[in-house]
Amino acid sequence: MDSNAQATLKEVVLSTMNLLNQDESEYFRYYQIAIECFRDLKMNFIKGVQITQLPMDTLNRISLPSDCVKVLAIGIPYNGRLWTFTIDNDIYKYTSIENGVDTSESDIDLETTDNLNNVGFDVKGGINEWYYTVDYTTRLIHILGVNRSDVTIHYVSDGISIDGITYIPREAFLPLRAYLIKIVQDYDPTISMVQKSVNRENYNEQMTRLIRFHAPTIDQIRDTYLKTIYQTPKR
Amino acid sequence: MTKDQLIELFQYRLSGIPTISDKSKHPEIISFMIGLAFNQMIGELNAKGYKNLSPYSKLFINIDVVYNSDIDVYYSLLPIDISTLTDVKSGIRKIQSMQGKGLEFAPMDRERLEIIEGLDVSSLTDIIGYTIGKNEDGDLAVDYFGMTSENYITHVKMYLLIPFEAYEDDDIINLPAGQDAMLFDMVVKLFNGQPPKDMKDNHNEIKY
Repeated sequence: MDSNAQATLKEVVLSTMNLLNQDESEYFRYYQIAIECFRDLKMNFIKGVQITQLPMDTLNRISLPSDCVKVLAIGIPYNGRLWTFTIDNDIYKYTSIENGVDTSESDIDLETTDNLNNVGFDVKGGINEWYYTVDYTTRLIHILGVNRSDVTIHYVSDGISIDGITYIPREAFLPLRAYLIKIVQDYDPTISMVQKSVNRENYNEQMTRLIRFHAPTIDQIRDTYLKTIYQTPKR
Repeated sequence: MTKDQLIELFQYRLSGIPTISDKSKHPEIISFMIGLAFNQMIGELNAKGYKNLSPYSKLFINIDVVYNSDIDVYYSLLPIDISTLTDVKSGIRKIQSMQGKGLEFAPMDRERLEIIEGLDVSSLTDIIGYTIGKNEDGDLAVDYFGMTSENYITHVKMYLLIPFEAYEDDDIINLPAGQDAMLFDMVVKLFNGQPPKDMKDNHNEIKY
């Protein structure tokens, strides 16, 4: 990806080492700290949703992407929009290994229960027809009622690419560098307390800028307040 | 100034010091003493945090990178003795691919290798780490960390900081500016502090 709007994590590391006049023998230490700092920024300060489409296995399960720290929505495309599924934490998640295959438990026989005969996911009137639950322990999403091989997932990513270059938004470049310097020098006993205070002040300033960058514009606030998405007259 | 010229210069300057015997002014002995002083001077510069030691390093190219399947490590044998400094880089000031493009290398502390291996950075960066140490034969070798069959290259070039005695006679020796007089003083002190000629322990007086 070649874009001025994005930088790489490696660029932040090299920029920091250049600023602090470090040679390449510190590279691995700085890079590791940069990973930890960027994860924190990505989860708590940098807005943005990662979107991907994932296949379901035979038990209607999806493995969470390795960088997923929080699922925001799961759905399928419908009329050009994301038709989201409803959370249902009662979805039966237990599976057992039978003949080496992960197998779900069979349903109990409800055919003789008249009261339930007309209840199914094809019956309209509910708030939704498709349901999901996320099991963060096993890193699986369990889905119910979807007759489809792929679903779309919106999630918060930790931002680190494990199989390629990690890109960071340009507005996070200086905040991340300030964060990295603060962490590196906070634990260096040769650095004066004055310098550490300067680092903290710089970090706070950069973080304020980052938060402001992601703050909604006055138009967005007004649109939300006036609900102008319904095309009411603007005044 | 070449190594030969430097030795001649010292021979000339030492000739005016009567306390040093003529026998001691042999070029081999002078070379040995310059080596002691030169290596100490470079070591002290490094210990003082003087980072730009590149002018005193020498380029070696086409150094083989080979794979040891027994320990699953790619490594290179050093083509020459190096100055073993105390910083992580030691006497290897830089490693690059032959054209200087593609793979990048950064020195690592071998004693901290397990820490790095247990962290994300070990799998998330494309930079090849290298550590310096002796192999099973007792030779100094460079082990590469993060080099696999996919990103493996056959040859590298290295900028090595080598001890004075490893220079060829016609190699140019770069002395840090302003340190040449200090080098002379150090050599003279080494000559003055040389051991007595008669080292036989016969419980008699020591003859100087």
